[in-house]
Amino acid sequence: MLAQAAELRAALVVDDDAEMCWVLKVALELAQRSVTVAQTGRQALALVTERSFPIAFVDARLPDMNGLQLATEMIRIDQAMRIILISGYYSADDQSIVEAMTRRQVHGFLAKPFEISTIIAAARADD
Amino acid sequence: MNFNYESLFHALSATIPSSILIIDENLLVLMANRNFLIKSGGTLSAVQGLNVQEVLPAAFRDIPLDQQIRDVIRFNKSLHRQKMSYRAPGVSLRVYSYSIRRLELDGHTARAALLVMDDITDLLSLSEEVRRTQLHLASVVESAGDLIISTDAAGAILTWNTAAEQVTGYGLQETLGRSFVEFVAEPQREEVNACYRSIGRTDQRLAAEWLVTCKHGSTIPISWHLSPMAGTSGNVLGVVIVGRNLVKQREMEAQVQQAEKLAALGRVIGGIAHEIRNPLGVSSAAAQLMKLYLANPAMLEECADKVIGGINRASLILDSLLRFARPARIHETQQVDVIEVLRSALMLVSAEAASGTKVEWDIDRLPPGVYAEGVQNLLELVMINLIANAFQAMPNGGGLTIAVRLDRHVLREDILIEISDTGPGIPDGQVSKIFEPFFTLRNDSRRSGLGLSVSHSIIQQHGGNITVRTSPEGTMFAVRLPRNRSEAPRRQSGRRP
Repeated sequence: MLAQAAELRAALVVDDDAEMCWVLKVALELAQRSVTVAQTGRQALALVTERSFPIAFVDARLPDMNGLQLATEMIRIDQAMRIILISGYYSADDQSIVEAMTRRQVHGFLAKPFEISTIIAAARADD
Repeated sequence: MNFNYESLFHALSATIPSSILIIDENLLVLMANRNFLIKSGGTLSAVQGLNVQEVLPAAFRDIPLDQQIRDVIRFNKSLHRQKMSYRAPGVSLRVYSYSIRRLELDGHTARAALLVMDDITDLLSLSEEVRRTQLHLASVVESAGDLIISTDAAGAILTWNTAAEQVTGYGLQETLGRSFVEFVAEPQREEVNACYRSIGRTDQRLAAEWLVTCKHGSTIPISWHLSPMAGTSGNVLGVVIVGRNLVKQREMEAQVQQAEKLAALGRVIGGIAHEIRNPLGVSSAAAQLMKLYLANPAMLEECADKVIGGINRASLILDSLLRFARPARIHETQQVDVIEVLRSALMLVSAEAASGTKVEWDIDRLPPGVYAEGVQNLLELVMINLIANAFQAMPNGGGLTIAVRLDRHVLREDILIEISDTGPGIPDGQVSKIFEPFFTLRNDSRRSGLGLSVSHSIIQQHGGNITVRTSPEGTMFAVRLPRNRSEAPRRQSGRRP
């Protein structure tokens, strides 16, 4: 069951900004997650198809699709997935974010800049 | 040779247009020439022996002609070119010039006077007309709002009107004989000289926009038209230069451009938030991580690098925003790196791109350092407008291509910037309207409909042009700008410290 335990602790980070990916990776590793990084929506979908990620941190603006679209597609592949949307564009009270949260299209929203502790807390929420 | 003087007199008096009378000491008419007889409607035999006053029209009688004739005969003092006017009811005023000279008759025993009269009415009215025309032309030139200057074929100033004086501060006395080119701002003098060299070779007027250096040191943009004054053999005698002060027009254009810039700024600000919050997010997160890794020097250093890198990125974005928003005086030009302008514009409007939009650069064949002479933030505004339009033509994603190439001509080299999208194209019948103010294809209150018309005027001010090609497969805007070949780029003096 060791292998499965390792899988449970995996996290996916989807952002086209390499620096942002780096800080998210470091923060999530503090939360005992093994982190995989994707820079586009297409890459992320390929990864989700191959293996399971209990949690994904997704940037709202990706070069090939927007974060909400990607969230819908990923949940279609893996219903158990929890998706945290991260954005420098939207704020938590934006209509589209409120609706996406209500519809459970995404399970959390973080505005940039964010607290590391919030990332860690979000990652540990289902430990 | 022996003249028959009487026959010579008759021949002469018959061929000249003057009226001639010979009058004796008693003021009786001895002889009248044919012209006089024709005009007075009489015959020689009818006038001979009459008093001179009887043969002249009554209107002439107010002149002391009798006395004058007597004085000439007595004192031998000729009268030259006296004027008399002939006023009669129902006849327009006629003016005569007359001269009286003494004649010796029959070997000094008898004396007489020769009275020669010329109708100079037409001559006078002609010269009056010439004078009036000259006055009229002069007042047209003087009261014109445009600068009107004439030079000889080499460019030395011959005339300089009041408008030219008011605009430049130099009066005619200070400019007379100096070369026109001296008054044009330094960088454009070679162009003026080239104009003068070519002006004789074509009939065409030459149009140009040159800055003029005024007496108090400032420079003023003026739109000039140069026309050759050709001599009868087609050689150039001189050049007429008409100039229009563009300051007012430029101020208005600058206002519209500034308003349009603010509108564009409003559009891009949402995108900028994203651009700035990303590096801010990285910096903030990296700084928080430093607190957690205080005991790990390698990690501390890496985090510090991320903090600094993020702050620098955010500050760079603010730099381009400020540079774009800052109003620039229109004649403060600098050498503008075209690729930098395009990158910066693309960054500013990248938020308007729909997801799934691919941006491709086609600049591989370009030599390094392609500069245009101009105002950076105005050129940026044009590129922002064109790129934003392209993005909005592709609401479901597509391909934006930014191509830059050089187009060499005999005399100059152009920079050709092509911005193409793969959108549905501009509808038929709309293409001709897209450069008109307030024309827009979109229902979006954020868009003023001024973007393309302002872009058009900016590019024209830079000596270039902007054209469009559209089809259902996409639209391409091509901007042509003259290339500045100077080696080292000059930076604008007004940059932030």
